[in-house]
Amino acid sequence: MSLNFFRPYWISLSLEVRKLLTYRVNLLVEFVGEVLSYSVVSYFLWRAVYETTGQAMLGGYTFHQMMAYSVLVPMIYKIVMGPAMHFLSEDVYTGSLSRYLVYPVNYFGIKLSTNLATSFLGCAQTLFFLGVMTLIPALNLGQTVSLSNLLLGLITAILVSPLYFVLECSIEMAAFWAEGVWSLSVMLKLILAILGGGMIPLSFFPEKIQPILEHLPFALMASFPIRTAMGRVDLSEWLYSMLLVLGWTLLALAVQAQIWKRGLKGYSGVGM
Amino acid sequence: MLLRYVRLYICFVRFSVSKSLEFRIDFFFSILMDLLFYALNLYFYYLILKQTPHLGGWTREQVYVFVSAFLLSDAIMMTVLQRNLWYLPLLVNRGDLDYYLIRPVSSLFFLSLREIAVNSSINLVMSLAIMGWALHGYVQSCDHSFVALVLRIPLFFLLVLLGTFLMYSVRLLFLLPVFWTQSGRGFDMVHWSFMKLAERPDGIYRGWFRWVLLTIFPFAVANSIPARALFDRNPLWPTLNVLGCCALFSFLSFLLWRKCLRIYSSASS
Repeated sequence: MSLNFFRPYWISLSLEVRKLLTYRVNLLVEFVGEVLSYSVVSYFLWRAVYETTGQAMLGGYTFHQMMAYSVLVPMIYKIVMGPAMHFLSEDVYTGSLSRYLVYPVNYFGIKLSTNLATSFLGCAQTLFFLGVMTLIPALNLGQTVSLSNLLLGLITAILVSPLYFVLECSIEMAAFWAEGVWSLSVMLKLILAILGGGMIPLSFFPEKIQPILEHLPFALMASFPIRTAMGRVDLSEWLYSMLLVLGWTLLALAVQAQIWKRGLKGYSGVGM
Repeated sequence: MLLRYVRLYICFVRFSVSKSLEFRIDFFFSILMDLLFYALNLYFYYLILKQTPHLGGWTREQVYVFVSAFLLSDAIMMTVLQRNLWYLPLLVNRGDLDYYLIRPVSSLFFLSLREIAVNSSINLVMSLAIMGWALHGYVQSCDHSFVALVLRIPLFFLLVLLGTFLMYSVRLLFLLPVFWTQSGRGFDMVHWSFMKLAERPDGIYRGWFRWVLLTIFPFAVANSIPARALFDRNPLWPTLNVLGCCALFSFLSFLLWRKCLRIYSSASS
């Protein structure tokens, strides 16, 4: 496999980066709005909880660690999820999937590379924005998140993002048979929010189900990269979790390939 | 006059039902999605309340009443208004707003209520059931007299409806700048970011920030203050808070709508 094989994907990625940078203000407003609102709500909520209980640590997190966790959630989400939503179903409904099928490139490769463009920009935004947020004394982020751990967390988020992409694709392929599947994508996000540890760390769940949740793909896509960025994952756990990510990705890919094959058989290419 | 609007709304409902039944799988998935959303919110508060007996000065039962108010308000918005409001920026940009303006009815009425999300109406029933469960739990634990409860529960319900109308007015204020900016995405993102503030009890917010959320940006009013009218000794202030915000923001949104129509220049806008 020569380097030329990757050329179209690389071009697609760089084109997407340029496209996203054209709408810089949108990109910034979206990111800052999401992170700020989530952080502000989390700050007040957790402050109320910690003050009422009078305990320094809840679910293994001090208040400042909880704040770091909450600030990282929307940032890591942005990297892991990218813009991947409705693209496949839209292509099926409008019939524009047909043109991708005649291109001498892999459809999913092209879409993944455009997805990664958002992930890479999300990393840059995270680094910049977290840098700014370390200046807020109430959050005390400088004490809870080190640069090396943050970088490892961001790399982890990039590495797990294909898993989300494959899951999203598999779900959206329902568009081959059903007329409206956007709610399935929202359901995936909702499940990720609660079972992945996006709304609340998994250590708050009943102890019996925590080990199960940690092995599911949802925690691997949310809680795992966040905890890595906070330096709460050691090397052996990181390697084990990455193996799990690989396993889930391969499994999801196998399922996706089957659905894709069947979906294409019934695909008429005229759009709805 | 009023009867004419009622008849028109019945037509909207009939049209929406037949349209949604054409997309049966989407209909089913949307119901599932909303159920998941309710379960997720309830479980989130369950996990939080396992750690602390109070949240923002409210007991467990009171917090669940607040959550039920939030879910009911969300269900009403999703069923009656949200789908129509999503289309508004598109209508302005494409010039399709013309078709709404030439009808012999209020353009804002027509725009805001034309399509009903029938699948969400099933979830409306679910959210009412959750509210019933939450109110039952609260009634068991509170020290209000029977007469007070009989008066306060309908007041609470009425204020939730008014709070939903307030959220509609606020949403309009965030959507209408599309007449000037062409793209409504930025304002829409800001609106949804602010909406996260409405999903938590107002008691967790402090100082000037809380004051802002109860007056200038009344995101904490819609769900929390109706609940306060049920819990507080004196329900007068919470009631006035909701009524005042409702009157002010509906007036502002109506004023802005009229200004928008004056500058609207069809497809070229």
